[in-house]
Amino acid sequence: MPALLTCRGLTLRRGRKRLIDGLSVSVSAGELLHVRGHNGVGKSTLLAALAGLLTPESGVVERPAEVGLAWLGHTPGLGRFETPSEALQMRAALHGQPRAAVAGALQQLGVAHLAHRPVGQLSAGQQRRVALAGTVLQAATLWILDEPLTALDAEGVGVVSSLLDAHRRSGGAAILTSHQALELPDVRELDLARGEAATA
Amino acid sequence: MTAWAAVFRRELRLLWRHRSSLSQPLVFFALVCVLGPLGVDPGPTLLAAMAPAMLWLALLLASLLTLDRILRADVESGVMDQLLLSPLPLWMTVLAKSLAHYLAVGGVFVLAAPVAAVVLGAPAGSLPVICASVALGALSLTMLGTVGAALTVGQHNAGALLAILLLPLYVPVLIFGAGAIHAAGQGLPAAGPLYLLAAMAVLHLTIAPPAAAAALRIAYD
Repeated sequence: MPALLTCRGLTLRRGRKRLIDGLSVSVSAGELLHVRGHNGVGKSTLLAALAGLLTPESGVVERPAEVGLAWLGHTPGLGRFETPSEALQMRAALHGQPRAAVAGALQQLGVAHLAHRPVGQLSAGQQRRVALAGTVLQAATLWILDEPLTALDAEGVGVVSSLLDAHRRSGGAAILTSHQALELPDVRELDLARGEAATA
Repeated sequence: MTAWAAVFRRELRLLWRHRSSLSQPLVFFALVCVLGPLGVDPGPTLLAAMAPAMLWLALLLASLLTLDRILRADVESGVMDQLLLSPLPLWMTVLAKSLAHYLAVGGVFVLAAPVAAVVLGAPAGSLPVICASVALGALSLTMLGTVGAALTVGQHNAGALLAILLLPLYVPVLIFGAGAIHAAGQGLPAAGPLYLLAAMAVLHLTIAPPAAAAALRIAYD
């Protein structure tokens, strides 16, 4: 299996505290990597560095140029005064996807009926679903998702789990953090407190 | 190109939807123009001599109030994450955002400046020069302001820092903007200062987007 993303000797710092020290990990097509660890251990920082939003103190993150990346941070990445439809149409234009794909992506996350309401009026869970619709819309090979299940109801967790499963079956991969257990088999776990990757 | 246009259109749409963020600086501009003459007991001669400087000072201060919105809301909501990671180069994103801001804010001030100038006693013949100097100067103010906004986007209370950073950089715009209006008011040719304003606008339009993009990347690290 070709690696979609590899990091070697990654060292990350937040302020004066060293969070991650010499981490090496690689993600191949068809894999789900669940990054675990207690609050403050550096999960979000690691994900931001893997996505390329942060420059690591040392070490390298490598991703082949043809591997597209979809990022979902802990903020939804939607403007308060725009509607889900407008936000996703810009996302489609940025990533060369047809505008027609927007309605389908919103449908998949069950938020098609909210397409023309301002994001500021949506609940946290609804915003999370719209943000995830943006991830799906990008049609990227690699997903990096920071707490995608936060604020989602049980049905939403089910939807996201099946999306993740379908994504890995189609040759994609995902790196995610979550305090909830994923209801999926064969999820690889990376425990930052212990610093080792194991297959659960 | 479609990606750039999408960012540009979004910015214009959000500016239109959030019009009050433009009306407040406009009221502030009007207030500064009105308050200045109240403080100096002006006769018509003194007022006419002061008008260009008053007008431009009011513009500089009012434009400072508008800058924070260019980048901050998108950084806080995470939209900037998406823009940073998209295939569109960051300097083009910054250019789209600042040009849309210029069209909206600069447009409002181009309309407001002649009104303020008449209130301050400027001769009617100088109004075209006033509009031209504001249109050209505002482009420089917006572009420099975008760099300042990018540099301070990580600070929680950026207002005063933004003013300290930017007002010294605004000095050439103030000198030649007010100079053009001054010349026109005395019936002299104003082309010289206007050309200089245009040259500065081109310079800032060229260097500000990459500079602001670099500042944004630093803010993310």
